[in-house]
Amino acid sequence: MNKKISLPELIDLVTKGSNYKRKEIELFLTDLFELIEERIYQDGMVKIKGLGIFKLIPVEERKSVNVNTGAEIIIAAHQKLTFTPDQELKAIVNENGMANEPIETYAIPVVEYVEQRVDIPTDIEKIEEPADEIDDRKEEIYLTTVSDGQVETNQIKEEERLDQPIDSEPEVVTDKKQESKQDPVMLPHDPKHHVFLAEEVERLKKQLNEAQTLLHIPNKKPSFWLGLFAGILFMISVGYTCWYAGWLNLIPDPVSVENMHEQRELESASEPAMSDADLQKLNQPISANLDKVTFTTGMNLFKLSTKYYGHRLFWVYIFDANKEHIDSPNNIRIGTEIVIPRLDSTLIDIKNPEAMTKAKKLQSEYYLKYNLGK
Amino acid sequence: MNHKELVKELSKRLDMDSEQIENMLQITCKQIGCQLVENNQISIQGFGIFDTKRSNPRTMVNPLTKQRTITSSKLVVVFKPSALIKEKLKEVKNYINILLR
Repeated sequence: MNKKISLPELIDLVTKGSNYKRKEIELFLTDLFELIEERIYQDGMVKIKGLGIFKLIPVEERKSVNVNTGAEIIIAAHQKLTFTPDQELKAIVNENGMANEPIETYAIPVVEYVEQRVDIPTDIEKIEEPADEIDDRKEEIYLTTVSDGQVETNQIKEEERLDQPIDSEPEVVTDKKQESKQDPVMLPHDPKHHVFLAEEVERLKKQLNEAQTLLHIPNKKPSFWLGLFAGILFMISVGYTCWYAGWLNLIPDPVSVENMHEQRELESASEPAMSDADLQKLNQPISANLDKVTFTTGMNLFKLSTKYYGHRLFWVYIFDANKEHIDSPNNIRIGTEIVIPRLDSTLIDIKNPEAMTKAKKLQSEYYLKYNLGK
Repeated sequence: MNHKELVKELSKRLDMDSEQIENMLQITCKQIGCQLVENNQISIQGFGIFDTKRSNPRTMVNPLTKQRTITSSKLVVVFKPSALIKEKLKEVKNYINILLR
């Protein structure tokens, strides 16, 4: 390890791994390096498979400063001998190199720094002890109730709420506890308050114990009533909605039926008129939309029209539908929502020359209007 | 100079088959690689030193997925030309410049 291997040692190593005589190898190696040197001067490059490329690189002249005298020197332009290892050599070196040190390629998880930066005030250390005790007490209560298997945590909360009005003191205490939890910074520093807190905590413990004892008595009445009330409310709401819906649809008014008939007749009357109408009427895009697209980079009205209508010429209609939020068809802000209108099939028929001429006309109009190319 | 030209030239000088020369070259290259893996330097007098350096691991960002990954450190083969060659290169400089033009 970390040995320096000279040429004779290399010759020994190579002869060990081959069937040739030592003299042959010696001649070969000395000649090899001589040849490389010679050829580098001549050709400026020597390529050896399995080892790499020796190459001369020209270095431009540059200014430098003599360290001792401080005088400026110009380092003349010269050639530099460089070596770039071959892929094979790289592979050999790294295959075994990796065995020594394992590669680690893993994804770094994205860390949300904002959460971490929340500064914890030093004052909290004073308050932490009692707070921890309270937490422990609470956990005990929860644990005991869960072990009973009958009372759920939600019920406990309700019962606690119901218990509090019976004796007025615990409510106050719990409020104070919450305050201390919410903003510990606001609490004063002096030890008197600390003592006061400790007293409070003891009182709290007692209250909690009382609550614990109370909890063991099955007292399901309030929750039962609450549930019943909620159920009734739910039934009423469901019934009401059902009734309302039924009134709307299932039991139709005679008047509304008549209206419906009239509408249908009108529609049927208008249909033949529409079919007879010439292209100009059809040209107005129908209100229903094919799709909504948010404009992103690389998007283009041409592209959109080819995507939805099959030809770039029909971008005119897309622009028509979005005139209000687009200043110019060539300058659309990223993020604007573009409505793609549902068009009549005759309007966007590529084989129909009339439709094409129509679109072209519109296009030339827009080109003139917005000073676009052509 | 190409690999083929090198092998031809060597076989001419040593009076050996080009196949033999090729075989020898392969063995030497492998041997050099093996020695380099074991952190050994190979110094050839009047020519230069083959050495290895461990490249630092670096974070890489996939441009498509923007996922950050750490590439492992690798062994890089380094060649330092000897002082003799450097001196010679200074003398040869003009000659090569003429050739390059």
